[in-house]
Amino acid sequence: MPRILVVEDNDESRDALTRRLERRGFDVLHAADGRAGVDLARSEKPDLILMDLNMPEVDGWDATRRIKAEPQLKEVPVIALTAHAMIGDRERALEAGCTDYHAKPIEFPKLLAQIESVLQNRTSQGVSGT
Amino acid sequence: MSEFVHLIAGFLLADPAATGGTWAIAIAMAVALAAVVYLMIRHDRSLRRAASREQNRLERYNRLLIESTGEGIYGVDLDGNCTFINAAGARILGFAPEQIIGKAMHALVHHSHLDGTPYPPDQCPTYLTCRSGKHSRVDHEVFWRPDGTSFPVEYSSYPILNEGTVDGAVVTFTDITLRKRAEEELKRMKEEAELANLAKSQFLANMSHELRTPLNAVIMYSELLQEEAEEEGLKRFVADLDKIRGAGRHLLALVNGVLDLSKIEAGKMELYLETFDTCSMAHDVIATIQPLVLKNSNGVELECPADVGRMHADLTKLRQILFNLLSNACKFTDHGVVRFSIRRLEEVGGPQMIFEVSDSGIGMTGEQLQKVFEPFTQADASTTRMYGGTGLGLAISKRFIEMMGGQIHATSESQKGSTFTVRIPARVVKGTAHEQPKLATETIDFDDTRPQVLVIDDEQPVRELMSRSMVAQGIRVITAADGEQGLQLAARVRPDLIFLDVLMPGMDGWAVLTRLKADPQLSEIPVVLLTLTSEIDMGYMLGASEYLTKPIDRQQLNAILRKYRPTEASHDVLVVEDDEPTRQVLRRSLARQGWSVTEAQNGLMALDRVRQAVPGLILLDLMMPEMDGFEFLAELRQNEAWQTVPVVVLTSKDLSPEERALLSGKVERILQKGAYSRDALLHEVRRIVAQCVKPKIAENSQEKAQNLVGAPEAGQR
Repeated sequence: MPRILVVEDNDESRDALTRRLERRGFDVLHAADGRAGVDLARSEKPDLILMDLNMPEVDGWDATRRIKAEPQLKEVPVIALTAHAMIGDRERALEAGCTDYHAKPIEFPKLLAQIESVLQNRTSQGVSGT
Repeated sequence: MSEFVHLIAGFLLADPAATGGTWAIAIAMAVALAAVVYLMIRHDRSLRRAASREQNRLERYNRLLIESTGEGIYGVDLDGNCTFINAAGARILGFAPEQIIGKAMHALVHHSHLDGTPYPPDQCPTYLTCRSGKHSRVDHEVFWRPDGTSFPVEYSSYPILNEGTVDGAVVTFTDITLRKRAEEELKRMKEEAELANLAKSQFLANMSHELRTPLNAVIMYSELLQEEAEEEGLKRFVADLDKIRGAGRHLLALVNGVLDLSKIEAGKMELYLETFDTCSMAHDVIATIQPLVLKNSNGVELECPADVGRMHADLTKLRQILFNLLSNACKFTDHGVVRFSIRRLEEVGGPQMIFEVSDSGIGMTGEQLQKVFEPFTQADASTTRMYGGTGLGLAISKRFIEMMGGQIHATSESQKGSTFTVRIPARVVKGTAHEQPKLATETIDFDDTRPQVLVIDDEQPVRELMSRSMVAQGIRVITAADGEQGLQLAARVRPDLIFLDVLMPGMDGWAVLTRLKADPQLSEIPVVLLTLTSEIDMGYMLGASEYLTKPIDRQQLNAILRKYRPTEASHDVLVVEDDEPTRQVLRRSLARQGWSVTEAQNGLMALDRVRQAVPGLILLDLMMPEMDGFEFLAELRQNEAWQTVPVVVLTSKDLSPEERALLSGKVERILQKGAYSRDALLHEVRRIVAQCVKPKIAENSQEKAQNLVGAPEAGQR
């Protein structure tokens, strides 16, 4: 099953999201801040990253940029999660290198659809094969 | 004088015997002369004394003025040395007057800038005034006191002019420490307020994050548990978990709404403008709303003609608005139809997009309708329990729409359904959105002769929309928000046309229409009903002339205005006058009032003009070359089609009784140019033109007959 890295500073959100994804059969890794997220991405090379943007210290924008700067990681798709449902945010997220964008509160069925579509694209492009 | 002396000497030296009688004469003359000389001297002295008294008085007066003012005043000569200073000036500067007189003022009190750097005398405005003879004023410099302290000063230097050359300057000055302090304080307060405002928006941003995060967790866990409960067959829990999830979602919606509202109130809500295809946006919204449509077994119909095209607006906010309207429509309708239509309207201010969402649901009463856009006022408390929702959606939508420079309004009928209409400029421009549209004032100006329309409608956006489009066409619009006020205004101004909304709280349109038609003074005024099509027959029965369905379509409105407004032809005024300047003045004056004017220089040309287009009124001069006014009038009245064209005679001729008789019955009025001032004449002309060129509906033949009398009393010679 695909591996998904959840980077989210809020314990409950991270836990609930992780468990719901696991229920769908995904292999889920999680990190509580941007730095840990980048480290984990480097060591585990997930198939997809769900990145909360509003985090203390190394935030989601920053972490995404760092991931996109690494040759081995730059192909890993990142879906941004943000509490700001503003157009500026979406653009900033895409600009930082995110593949897609999901505004909180998380609508799980919609998020699942996004995850599946991103993974689908990736497989069809034959970029990676886990 | 020397001739006198010679004369007298001549007498004295003359032979006494020969001039015995002359002596007496000479003495008498000498005495008289002395008396005259004495009197002359005395008079001269008294004159001088009076002049010097006057001079003293002036001097005292000037001194009093100079000394009693709180301003400092001093004078300098061309070298910059002080010639005088008043007590206030010396006090402000901290010197005794005698310490200053004769001293170089710049070196004494104006030697340095505030920061201590020297102030070269040749840059001093007072010095420059002495050089240029020009007045100067400064309020950002300081004067220095002998103790080394300075104070902010405002001073003016005026040149002392003496027969064209500058003798020096007078400087008036004030200590503006207090003013500067107040300015500083104001600046500080403004900065503080800006900081506070920043803190507020920061607070809002934080709050939104802080409040949403735990709510997200509540929702996520309840969804998670619900899934697990279903899987493990714990049916008992499923319903309760669903309630937790529902309450969590509701609370989140509330939080979002309140934050949105506070953001709008704080002016922190921004517009993100982008260009998009209107119909694809509409299809998207319909797709999103689908689950809600199906929930109550409703059907949804979208009408979006291809020519609607693209628009430039805040896509996210527009979607939110339409989603809100559509979800309301679905929520309050069961087994019914929700219609969503989009139109593009060309308006003077640019194309407008009209979004209309109507349903066949439970509708609203007039009372509920009034409050529908206020926050936290769903139709009633039980509605919330039954239908859910935060009660904020419409309030937020309304504000979003206003931010984009648009308007929303609603019509509804209890148990029949509701219609919400949103108008947004096809091209939203940032910043202008908050400007209030210019509205017709409600002042009534009886001298103004432009056509006047009364709009009676309880919905402010409708009044505004109609006012704006009519005012743009030179129509005076007065508005009333309810039937009672409408009737009062109608009686006061007797408008040319009334637009009347049928559905109003309190006295409804039917009642107003009945009362209008029952009043003999008002019954002739045409009334256009603003209504739903189903009510038209009722309206005609009660005496309405026309109807207009809401939302108001601009083209239909214009068609009605054209119909009830004087026609194009009758809007023309033909000025027949051989004198070019007079013709010009008349043309300009009438054109300013909105009439179009054609001109002719004599009767022949005038007949040509009338043949081309029959004017609404003819202003006719009598004395003209080629064909004069009398002849023209005779020709005009012979033609059947031209007999009703009103003619006003404007003449400087003194009319004989025969001439009057000739004109009688053929012209509306005779105005004698000499009897009026130019302005009064123009005013009178405008007034008569307005009377005649109005549609004849409210005018009866008696009034017309009265207008046939000759020149006013003042015009008789």
